[in-house]
Amino acid sequence: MKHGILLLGLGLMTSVSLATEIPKSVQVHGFAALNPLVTTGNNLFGQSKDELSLDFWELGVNGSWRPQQDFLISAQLTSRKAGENDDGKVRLDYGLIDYSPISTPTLKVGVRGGRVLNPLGFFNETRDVAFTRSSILLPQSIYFDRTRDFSLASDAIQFYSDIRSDIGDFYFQANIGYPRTGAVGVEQALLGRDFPGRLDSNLSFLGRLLYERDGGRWRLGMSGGHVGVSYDPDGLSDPLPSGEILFKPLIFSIQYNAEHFSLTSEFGPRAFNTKGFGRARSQTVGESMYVEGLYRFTPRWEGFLRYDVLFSDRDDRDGKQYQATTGLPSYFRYAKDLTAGVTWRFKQWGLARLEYHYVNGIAWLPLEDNPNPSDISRYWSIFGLQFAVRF
Amino acid sequence: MADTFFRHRYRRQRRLECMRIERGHFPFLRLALGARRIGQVVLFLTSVVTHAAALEITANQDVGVRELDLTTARLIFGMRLLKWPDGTPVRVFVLEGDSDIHQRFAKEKLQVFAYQLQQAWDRLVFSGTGQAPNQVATVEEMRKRVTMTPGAIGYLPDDYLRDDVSIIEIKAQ
Repeated sequence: MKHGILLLGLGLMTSVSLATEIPKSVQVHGFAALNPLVTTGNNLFGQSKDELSLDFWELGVNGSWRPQQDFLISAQLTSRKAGENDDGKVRLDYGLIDYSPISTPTLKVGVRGGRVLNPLGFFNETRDVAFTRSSILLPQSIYFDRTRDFSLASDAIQFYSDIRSDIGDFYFQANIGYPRTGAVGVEQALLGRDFPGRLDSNLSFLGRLLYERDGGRWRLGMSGGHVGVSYDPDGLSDPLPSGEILFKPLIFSIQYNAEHFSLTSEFGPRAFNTKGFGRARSQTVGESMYVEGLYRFTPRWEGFLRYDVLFSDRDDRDGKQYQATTGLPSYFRYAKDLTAGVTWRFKQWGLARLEYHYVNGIAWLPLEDNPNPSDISRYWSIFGLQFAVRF
Repeated sequence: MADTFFRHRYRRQRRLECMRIERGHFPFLRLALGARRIGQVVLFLTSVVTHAAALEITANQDVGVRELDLTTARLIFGMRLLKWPDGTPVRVFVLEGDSDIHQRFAKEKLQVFAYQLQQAWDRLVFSGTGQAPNQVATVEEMRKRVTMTPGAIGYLPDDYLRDDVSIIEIKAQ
């Protein structure tokens, strides 16, 4: 079913584009970013501890075609290398057909199908594009890269509607479909390590309601989902019996945009239920929150300061219970990240960034690059540089 | 043609009004006018320094619209409203994001900041849900493209306006 939607989309796209010469309504865009990192305490996206790592980069190219004003066909290929967390293979980030039968100044209604990005928070859909972020790393409590593939896109149908009124504009999106799984990091993050069986997503729902006032001076959002995955063991020899995981994230987003500064905050609970796996049912509710202030010194120079907190279990914020039951350190269950950075948007097509993180706890640290738990440090820091271009 | 005519007539009327007041015997007004004249001189000097001519939203002559409310203008330049009321495709032209004219256009005409427009376009372009506006390198290119492209909308400084483009006013709300 899920591959069906995708193949249908891709099939239509190729058959249509082969049949005609390139029309004016075709656009091609792309981006590339190299993010050299040096960290202390733990590795991040490569062997970065006390040495320079060039193992973290992002690439993408997309095309879109509007054969008629009501239709849009678009696709993006991306490649991301992030140490052992991501392998740099080219992937279809999105590939969709969009049809909006109603489009007036006050109301727009439409539907998209294919591989569609998940509408979560302010930044999920464009998380790989340096130019759409204020920092090298997005606030990891909300946009953690441990399970990024899984949270990024779905093979789905998306219904959307824009309603504009005197009190502001409302944007609504709802996805019904199958979130993308498959990358190594997802199994590692959800199950603890890469098991021989298969992890597949179940039919899931994701949605977002955004409210913008005064041309986007105020932006408020609420997004949530009901997202499931099932583990199917590889025969009897598989050490892990079958099981299901259900996520119910909820994100509240708020942003104020002035000429020289922007204030952004997102927060919310994320419920994590497991069933099966030869264990008792469990429900854990994590908590994420960040507050960011960004100042534009000139249209080209900006700086920001951010505080970002993740608790893996809101009933055990300091991780003491976790430590008592598992014997693993309590700081595996939280991460408090203080970040400061500057961006120089030297041209519309290029930017350079410098960023520093001081982190207490490792709740969102990808473990693939830190395979030995005894080598993991509670206090660690990240120095990052970024060089990004786009067209 | 008609637009240009009306503009000239409007300006002439304003001048006449000023003169009428000056001829009157209101010392306060005279003082105020004096201050205004100094203000005008200062404005003129700054405009010489920064080339800050007034901006107008301009459209191809076949576009039947002469007035837009602020919300609709934001939707059009935000690449979210893609058709004119008669169904013809809207073609949006903009200058580079860091050009002074573009920055002023965003602020003065749409009452948003240029970075917000850029963010809105980036969200559309990199999520596959929309397209970017056509970017032109110079004001002269903007004038030519808007003149020549059916359904085109853009913006121009006053001194680049000719009779071959229409002006679109933002309706007071």
